[in-house]
This record gives sequence, structure tokens and C-alpha cells, in this order.
Amino acid sequence: MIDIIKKPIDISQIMKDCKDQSAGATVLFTGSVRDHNEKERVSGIYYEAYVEMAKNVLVAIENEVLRKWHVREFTAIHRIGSLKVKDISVAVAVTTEHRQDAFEACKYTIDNIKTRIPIWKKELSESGNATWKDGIVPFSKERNKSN
Amino acid sequence: MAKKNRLTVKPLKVKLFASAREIAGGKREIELEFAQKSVKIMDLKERILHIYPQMKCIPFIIAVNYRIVTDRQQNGNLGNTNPTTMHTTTITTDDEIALLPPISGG
Repeated sequence: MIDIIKKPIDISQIMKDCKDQSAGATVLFTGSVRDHNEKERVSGIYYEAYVEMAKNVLVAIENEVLRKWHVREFTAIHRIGSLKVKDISVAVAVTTEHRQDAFEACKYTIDNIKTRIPIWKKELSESGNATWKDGIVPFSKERNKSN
Repeated sequence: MAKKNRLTVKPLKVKLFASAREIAGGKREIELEFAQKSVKIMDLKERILHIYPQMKCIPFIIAVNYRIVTDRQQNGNLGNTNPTTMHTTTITTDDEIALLPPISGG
């Protein structure tokens, strides 16, 4: 299951959906809003997405994962909108028969979400600044400045 | 009086996101008029930079129908298929075109 949503990500529901009696391993990754960056205190992040394309790319990533590993259940959800510190922005859960596949597939998924999904974040600092975070140009493997 | 035989071409619509949208004054979509129906991506990019020179600061890329169009042929895969190149790709008003600043999800 993949999705781009505005409401909070329900981790307990994801874990319920991951249950498979033939699987012995589930790896869950969550990304959340930090209270700081390199320079200042952060109060929140605003996420914006090109939703149709983001879902399209998430499906592509899911298909790649299903081809590479023996995955029983797969979930990748990204939240958009205004998030506060500690809010979960992204969750990936992969259920497999054995743990190594689950770890590898989960890492592959989040790595590719961060480099391929058309989502942008604007960081809101406690001092009142709001700046779009420097990001990655897909395919170039280069960052626009440091991040 | 004889009617003028005028060729009317619908404007190309380009979706804007994040920093690119703010440079364009908050517009989520811009419309660009070209004399011909089929336009090369390179020409589209040149027009956008002419109208919004501040976008030169953003190493943006163009997506056509959810597929990235790159400056050069590469092996990467953002969506379902390999990206196409900017030099050979042409677009029409039937295509969904988007200008994507560097991405920063997660």
C-alpha cells in the first residue's frame, strides 16, 4: 500500500496491516520532524507534493522492491501539509519471511523516497524564518548546496 | 470582408511547485503561448527563464506526464520508464507539464 496523505500517519494501523502468518520479520522506518537543523531551532516543516506524480513514483518503487525481494506486505506513506516537531512525515514498513530482506527492502525504499519522490519541504524556524530546504536534483545525485 | 485565417494554438500549461511557485508570485500554474502546437522542452525551459530569470537560481527539472526529462541520457528511473532527454522531447497542450525544483522529501 502506498499513499500521500494530509492526516497523521497511523503507525499502529500500519503494523496491523503488516501481519502475515508466513512472515517472520517486519521492519518499520519512520521519519519525523527534528527540532533543529545545522544552524537554528526548528518549529515545524511544511511539506508540499506533486501528488499524482509522487504516487506514480511510489508505485514504481514498490514494484522494484517486489521484484528484488520476497516481500509479503509493503507500506510506504508520506504525509504532506504543516507538521510540528516530532510529527511523523514518512513511514515505510516491509514484511518478509526473514529479517535481512526486510532490512534491505526498507532501506532501499526510504533511500529512493528521499531521492525520487517530488516532495518539497519548507522549514519553519523558531526565529520566524521560513525557507525551502535545499534538495536533490533527481538523476544527478547532486544536492543543491548542502542539506 | 474576408475572415482572417488565424491559427489559434492553446497555451501550454505548466504546473509550479515550492520555490518555483513562489518566484512566479504564488501561481500554481502558468500558461505560455507558442506559435506552434509542438514545442521542444529546451524552448520551454528557455521561455520560462526569460519570464522568470530568478529561476536560474534553481536547478529545476521538467516532468512531462509524470516522467522526468533530463539534460542527458541516464540510466535512472524516477517513475515507470526511463527518463527522456530534453533535446529530443517535444510537448503539446495535451501533455501534463510540471516544473520541479530539487526535491527534499522524507
